[in-house]
Amino acid sequence: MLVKDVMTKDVITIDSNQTILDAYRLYRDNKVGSLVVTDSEKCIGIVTERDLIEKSIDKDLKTTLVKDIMTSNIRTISPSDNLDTASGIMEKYNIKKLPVLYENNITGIITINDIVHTKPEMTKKYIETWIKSRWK
Amino acid sequence: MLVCEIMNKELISINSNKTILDAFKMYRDTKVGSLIVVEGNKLVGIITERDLIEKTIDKDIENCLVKDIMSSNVLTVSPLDNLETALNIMKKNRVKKLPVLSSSKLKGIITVTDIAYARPELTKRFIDSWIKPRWED
Repeated sequence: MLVKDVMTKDVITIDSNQTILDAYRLYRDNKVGSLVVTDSEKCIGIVTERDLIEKSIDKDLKTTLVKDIMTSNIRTISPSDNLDTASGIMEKYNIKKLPVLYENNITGIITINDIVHTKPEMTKKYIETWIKSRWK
Repeated sequence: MLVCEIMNKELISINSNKTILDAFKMYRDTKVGSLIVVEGNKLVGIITERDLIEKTIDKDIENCLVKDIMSSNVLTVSPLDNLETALNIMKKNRVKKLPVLSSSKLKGIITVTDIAYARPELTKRFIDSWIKPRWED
């Protein structure tokens, strides 16, 4: 099965020059777990729930920009890659989400939850690798 | 299998009169997904990641208190309840975490992830019930 078969196509993006306050509002209004950060349509980062909480301490939400708290150098994947490739990258870098790029354009996002939903036999590994590891 | 066999005994709790800034720092420093809110030794609420982001917009986090943004009327289970009971409460009320109380005393917390880990056959139900619906709200 391929990435494009299970990815979420409705990605919520935010421009890197918008404020953290804009990010909070987008997060609240869209009920997503992360926002993909773009610069002139190009995917340059990601902002997660944890970034929004941890990195906004002591910052002014109205003036600090998304690019100041985003995680850059992100890993991405192609829609035609298979799921094992995606979960392999997630495992190697201990991440749970990969933006899906097609010719440099954002076309979706795939999470470890999407993959485990399709492959329930991965459950124990999923919890050990992606859930429990965070608590240590 | 009983709740007490798989619950997390190390609870991260915060007093309801602390500030939201204190909650942000505790969340950052302990790497938990939620904070248990107490007054004295009594459970009065819970604060999730979503509360910390959604309910703090337009608030002064240095002065606004935990009790102003916490979710109160928290559902709980007993350490001697079985996992099916805990799971049914979670499913019915669409929550992922239940503090564990014995004679009104906090003993731990049990999450849907703990249950899926102990009972992997329930995982598909877990993701269907708690993860996917959030995207479709």
